Amino acid sequence: MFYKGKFSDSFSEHIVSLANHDSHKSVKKKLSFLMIEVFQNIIRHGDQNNSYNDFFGVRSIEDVLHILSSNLVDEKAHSFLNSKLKKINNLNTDQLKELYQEILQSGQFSEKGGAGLGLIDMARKSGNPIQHCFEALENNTFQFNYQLDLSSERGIELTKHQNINIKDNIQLYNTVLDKNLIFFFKSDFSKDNIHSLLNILKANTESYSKNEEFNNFRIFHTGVELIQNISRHGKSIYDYIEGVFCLFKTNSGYYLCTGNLLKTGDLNLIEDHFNKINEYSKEELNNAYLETLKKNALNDDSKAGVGLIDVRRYNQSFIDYEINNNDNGLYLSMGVFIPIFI
Amino acid sequence: MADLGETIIEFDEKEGVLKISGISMMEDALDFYSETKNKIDNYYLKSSSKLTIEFELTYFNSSSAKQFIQILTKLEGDMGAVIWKYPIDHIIMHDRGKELEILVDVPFDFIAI
Repeated sequence: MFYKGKFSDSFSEHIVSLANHDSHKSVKKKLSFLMIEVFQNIIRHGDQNNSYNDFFGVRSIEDVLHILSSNLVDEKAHSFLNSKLKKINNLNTDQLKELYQEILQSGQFSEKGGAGLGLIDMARKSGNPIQHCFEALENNTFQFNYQLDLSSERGIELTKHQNINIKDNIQLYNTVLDKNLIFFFKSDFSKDNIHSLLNILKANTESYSKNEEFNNFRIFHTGVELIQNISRHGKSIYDYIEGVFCLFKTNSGYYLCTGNLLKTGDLNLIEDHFNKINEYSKEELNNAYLETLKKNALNDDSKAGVGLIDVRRYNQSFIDYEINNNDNGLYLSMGVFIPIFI
Repeated sequence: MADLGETIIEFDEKEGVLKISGISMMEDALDFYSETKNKIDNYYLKSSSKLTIEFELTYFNSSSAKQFIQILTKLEGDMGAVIWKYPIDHIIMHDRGKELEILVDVPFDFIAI
């Protein structure tokens, strides 16, 4: 998961719940704690007026979890963090514990964690050095990137080859920045996660303008229908449906895309379905909505069959799609541009 | 961050008014509305009075639309009427109500709130 949207405390619960997964349940508490710490550090120390550089991410690769963070800091914070992190990374577990207690007893910490207590705690809990990197920017500011690495199995130490170098994740951050990505999620499309995804989508896209109802409705509705397509048609592997959901900002709106393996379906029929919807005129789309809904209302299943018609007619955008046949079946990727009307 | 909200269903059998309000976006709309559909069937078994269904929604998804059609079909044949309340500036919610009106033979009254 990568997040480059609005940072506020109310998001942390959704972000944490999205990272829950059976594959690392033995370190669930630790992961949640560390994620909240890292996320809240961005809120606390990031530049309130300019969140352009703020970034948060979590990756689960094989047996290792990586929490990524990037935000802007000033010269003072840079020298403080740089020296603290160098010191912390040179200490072993016992020495970290000692330092932690020493600071606590001397009472030299402040609300803002001025003594680096938070950093020591993160190093202790993750059980690994905190990878970090500063990039000098204009006006004596620095882009501060750091990364926590922890094993997804409790009590297992990481070997060097298991770890991702922070440079790789910085490259990824630059891609996120370059592509104007607000949010990327690749994991389980459970009911709880869908709820969190929609909350994140709504809070990051809601605008207050002349056409706010119209714009907000279309963005939210597109999200709901595309996400529900995944939970309805997605193939379940090891008891969960894995899918991709991502949101980009463009000059004149948003681009929303999803990806998932399909449970069933014939490649040609699916392609025909998309092509037909894309070829409809505005009037034909409205008629197709009514006819399809009327026809499907006669059946007792849950299929309304008008989700994609709605996405297409409200946005007046074509539905981009690609279907690949891979070892696990058909993989469907689709995306829709949602124009914002001012 | 404001939560997404939920669907509120209130059925006043004495007055013959069923109210559906809030936002309706559940993926399992079929399960969610099955109880409501049963209640309507039971209402007509017990009473010969008409039923008014009052919608006051700020959002509903496509699965909910299908359930609404099934619910409203039960009112066909002069068995009831619909009051469709929509937020005053929300043209889409007005139009989405109009589309439901086309699909069923039940009188609709539109009220901007």
